[in-house]
Amino acid sequence: MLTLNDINKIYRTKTIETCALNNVNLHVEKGEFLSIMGPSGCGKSTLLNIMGLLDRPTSGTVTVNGEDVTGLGDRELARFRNRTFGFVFQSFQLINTLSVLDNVTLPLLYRSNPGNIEQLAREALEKVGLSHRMTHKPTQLSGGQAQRVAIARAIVGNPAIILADEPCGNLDSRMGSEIMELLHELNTSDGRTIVMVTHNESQAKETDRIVHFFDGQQVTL
Amino acid sequence: MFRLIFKNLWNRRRAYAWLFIELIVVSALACAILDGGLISIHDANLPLGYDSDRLLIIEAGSIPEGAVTFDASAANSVSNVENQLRFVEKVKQMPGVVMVSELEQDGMLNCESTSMNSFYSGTEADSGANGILTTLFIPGTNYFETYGIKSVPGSPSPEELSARSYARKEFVITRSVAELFWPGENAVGKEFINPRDSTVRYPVVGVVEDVRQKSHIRTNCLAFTTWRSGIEPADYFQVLVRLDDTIDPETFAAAFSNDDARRLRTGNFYVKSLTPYADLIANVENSAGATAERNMSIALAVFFLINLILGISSSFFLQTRRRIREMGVHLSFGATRRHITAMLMGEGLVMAAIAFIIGDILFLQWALKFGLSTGNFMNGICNPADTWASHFGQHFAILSGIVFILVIICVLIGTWLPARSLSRISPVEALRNE
Ligand SMILES: Nc1ncnc2c1ncn2[C@@H]1O[C@H](COP(=O)(O)OP(=O)(O)OP(=O)(O)O)[C@@H](O)[C@H]1O
Ligand SMILES: [Mg+2]
Repeated sequence: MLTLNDINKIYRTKTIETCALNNVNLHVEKGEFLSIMGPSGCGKSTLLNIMGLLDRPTSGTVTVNGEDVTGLGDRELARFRNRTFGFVFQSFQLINTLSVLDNVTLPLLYRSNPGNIEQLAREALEKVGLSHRMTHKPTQLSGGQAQRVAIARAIVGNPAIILADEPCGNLDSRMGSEIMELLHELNTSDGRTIVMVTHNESQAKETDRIVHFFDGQQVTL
Repeated sequence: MFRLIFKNLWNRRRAYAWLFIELIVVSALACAILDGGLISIHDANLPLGYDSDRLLIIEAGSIPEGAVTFDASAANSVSNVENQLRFVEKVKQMPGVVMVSELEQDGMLNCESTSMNSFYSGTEADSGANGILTTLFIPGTNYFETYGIKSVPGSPSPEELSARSYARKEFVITRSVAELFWPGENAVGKEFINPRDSTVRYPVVGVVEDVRQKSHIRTNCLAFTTWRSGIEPADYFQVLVRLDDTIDPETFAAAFSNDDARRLRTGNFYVKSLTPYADLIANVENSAGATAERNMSIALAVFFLINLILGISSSFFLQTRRRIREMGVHLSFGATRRHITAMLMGEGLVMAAIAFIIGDILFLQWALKFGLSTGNFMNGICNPADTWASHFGQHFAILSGIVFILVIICVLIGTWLPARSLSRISPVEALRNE
């Protein structure tokens, strides 16, 4: 489904050079629920961004559904981001000037035949249990609610892969387990592939596979 | 996409309020400032009504009595007139010259002062006298065709008008005068009436196309007349020279040699100066301050336009810069750079269009009250019935169109630049921006 080959990511500023990822090789199977663990700053978010085609690796190749996407242009990359991936960010990344409903419809705006946009967005919001907050602005939501809106936005376009960067990082444990339940349901009943970054050992243990990172490299425990 | 544009604008109405007001003010002000500049450019480009770029003036002076070369035998009125005719004939023989006309002392178009006359049109319904400018010419000198003045249908040709013999008080008038006094009628054969003595009549013998008396002033009501039957003795005269297409007046004047000057000497007459007509026109404009005035209004307009472009563009630029993170979100969920550019520009265009309409309506209120710019008219002289400024709707539409295009260009620059800078960074970098 998704393969990373010899991925390096080096951040260069004028004074320092940070090697965020060092020769990473990773394969994600279709329908798999994978969690990524590791200490802060080891490159998990960087890895997820490269998987989701939000960032380009310094070297190495990313293959999605057997297609090498490393050299693709802006339009093809946008198409993959739109159809194949659904991103859940560590810091929500909702647009504060748009209502909850408009935030959720966002991915559908960039489809040629999206169907009934509002209907699909409502269904996604129902799935995350937020159908009663549709006209609110993101600033009027709690952290847990905001993250659920972000998940609704990630699933509304029916993507094959959901990439979630610490989806429960900002939530208390009850909220966190609700979100986890949601993700498991998306994985088991809808058959979506999920890659999740987490710091929570017990959450990680519920998933199919755990990959550990340390200092930009994959480690086996 | 359209719904998103309107939602974005509506939800950001507070952030965009100032920009919106700025756009309204700029639209209204741009209309007001460009109005004057547009009219002065339009007026400067109105046709003169004659072929100034083919014409040249030769001034002839006479050698003063007592000078060594003075020819006493030519100093009588018969030889004086003969020598004027011979001088003109010699000019006509010069290579490149097609036609010549000796001018009446104050009869040079554009350069000399003209007199003003008030007349009634002679129709009963007419309530008041209208002022028209009159300029003098000498009959029998190919005056009209040398200038290249055209006659209107229904009137004798320029050749006939130059050649015919004129009784006193007979007039050749321009189209504007004809339309003012006898709208819709053929003015040939009509008569002006003297306002002080209605028994004094001035017959119209010909109608020619409009001629502008001053290049920096709107087409005025101009007429031609003569007090003489032909050339009369003079110490000084001017010859209007029409050149063919092979040589321009500038080159002709520069190539004029001492030999040429010697050849042209006739009796006591000699060539005092050669001046291309375009230079004469430029001098008159300069001394009237019209060139400076026009340059000033164009400079003002240009200055304003530059400020307008910089002002609006940078306002948009700053507003758009604040939204890079938001654009990062769009990119993360499938927007292409082109989507982003289209969205930002679309927002700008919608906002600019609404602001322009409001600004334009505000300006229209002002224009309806105080009028649009009319340009430069000569005081005391009636204006031709038909000027661009009198077509209020057309005038206003053209002005609005230009201002609208300007505002749109500003907005496009202001949104295109940040949209372009956004296309250089990855979605992740955009998301990190705050
Ligand atoms: N834009 C950047 N410029 C320079 N260095 C960066 C940049 N982004 C990330 N880094 C560095 O790359 C390394 C990996 O960062 P990353 O955000 O992937 O860590 P992380 O594992 O997600 O950490 P956390 O668990 O705290 O979210 C860090 O050392 C970080 O300082
Ligand atoms: Mg992280």
